[in-house]
Amino acid sequence: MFWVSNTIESRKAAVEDEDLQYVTLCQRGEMEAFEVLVERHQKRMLNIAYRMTGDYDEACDVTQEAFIAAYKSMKSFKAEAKFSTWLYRIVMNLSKNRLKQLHGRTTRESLRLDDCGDGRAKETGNPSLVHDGNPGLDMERREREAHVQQCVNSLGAEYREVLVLRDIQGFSYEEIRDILKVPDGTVKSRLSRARNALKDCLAKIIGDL
Amino acid sequence: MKECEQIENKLPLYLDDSLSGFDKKAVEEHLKSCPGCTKNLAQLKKMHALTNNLAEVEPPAWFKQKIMVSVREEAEKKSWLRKLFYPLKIKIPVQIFATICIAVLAAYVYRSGEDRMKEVATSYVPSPAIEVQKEKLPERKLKTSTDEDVQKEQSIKRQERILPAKGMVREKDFAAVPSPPAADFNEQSGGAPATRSVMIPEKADKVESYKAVDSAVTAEATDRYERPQIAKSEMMAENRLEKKKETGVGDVVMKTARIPQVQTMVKSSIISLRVADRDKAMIEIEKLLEKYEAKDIIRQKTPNKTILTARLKNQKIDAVKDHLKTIGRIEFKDISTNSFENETAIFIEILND
Repeated sequence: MFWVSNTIESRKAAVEDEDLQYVTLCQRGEMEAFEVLVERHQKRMLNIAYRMTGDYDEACDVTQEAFIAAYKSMKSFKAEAKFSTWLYRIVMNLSKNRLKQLHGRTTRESLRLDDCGDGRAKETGNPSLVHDGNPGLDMERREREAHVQQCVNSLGAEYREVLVLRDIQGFSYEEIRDILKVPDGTVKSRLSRARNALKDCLAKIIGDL
Repeated sequence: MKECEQIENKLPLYLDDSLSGFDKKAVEEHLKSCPGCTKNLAQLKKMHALTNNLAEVEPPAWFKQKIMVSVREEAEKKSWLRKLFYPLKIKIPVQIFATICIAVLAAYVYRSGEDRMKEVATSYVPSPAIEVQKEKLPERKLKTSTDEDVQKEQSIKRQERILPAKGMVREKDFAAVPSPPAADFNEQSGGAPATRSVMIPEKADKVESYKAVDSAVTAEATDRYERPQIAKSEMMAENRLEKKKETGVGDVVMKTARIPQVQTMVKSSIISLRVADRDKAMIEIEKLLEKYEAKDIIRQKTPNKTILTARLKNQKIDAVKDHLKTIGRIEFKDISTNSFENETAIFIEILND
């Protein structure tokens, strides 16, 4: 189980300090500096948005909005937290807002925590997924990932966000606490419930895990 | 079973070693003796493996460029707004200065517009006034000159109807001279009403020309013109008045141009003079009046009496009365009439003794 922590730690980019440098330049009005920050964080931002919304196009829109919002608010960034943490908080909040909009706009065919086993798998278009060369394995893996995403989508936003940040994106508890601005205990209790719910959901969809 | 529920809530955190030492030990102890919870843990591990190994999605092509285009657009908007509102330290004074400039300019424009309005007002408003003056001038002229006569007429007639102003103007226009007092002395003296008015028509064609203007007045004038009993006296008066047309009208105009005299209602006198020879007496009285610088001497003859009217200076009235006593037997009747500043109208009624 320690390998999870190691993975998370390894995912921490060693660019945090460099972020501040570019942030400072960006605050002085240098657009190129912001371009560097976009280059650095776009993929992580997009993945967070994708796992939160479950839709690739929506995720792209949310990510773009998040960068624009970040640029607009760049002056208000005081470097009290990491720039990346601040950036991910923006994309997380925008993702949750988008989820609310989508929930109100369309009747989702998503699975609930209590009826995830009855739901049918919904293919979410993610054409940019990284795949292996083997088509059979790719198909099986894509199907499995679709099931996982479907179960993630079935979680409530407050459970989904901790699961995405911790188990999918590999952030540390401290980072999650900073991003979500919730206490450690809350993060852990939510994560516990989210994992159990996801396990139950997957067990119902896939069968024997 | 209850213990399993408690352990089940802790197992997810046991996955990534997030439990405290005490909880971790309790979970491990429980797992040794509980196959169900062990199975749950195995499922959690598989689930965790799945979520941890989810493939990352790659950003679409040109995603960064697309983002940067949007950001640049936003930056342009922001810089445009910033030009207007930021930084406040610089812009607020500029805006205040601009506001003051606009306010001053607006006030200046308003005031200059006001001056122009005044100019327009002064150039426009008086023009109708001039026209009015032009129109009213003769009226006023005549009115001024006739006022005394009309007032005399009013005072003499007392209850007699007053002609409309327009008619009066036309009447005076028509006569072109101040009319003699429209006095019905017969009424005063109890005689037959021979003359209601002393308005003097000039010529019939003139009368005709005024018909269209004021038919009532014209008709009245024509009516008088046709009266044989007053025609002669009117012709005589006309002779006198024609002289006045040349001087009197001008005089009247000049008088009008002057500051109008203050009129006051005072007691005046009608002097009834009984003489043996009316014509002789009339000539004597006229000379007397001329001697005392009487103005507007008008003679009117009727079969029963001769009437002389004139304006005399107040201080000379008594002297005139004294002289009249030498000519014949006189009687005084007080009437209310207009007195100008230093002149009074007198009416001398010459009757056969």
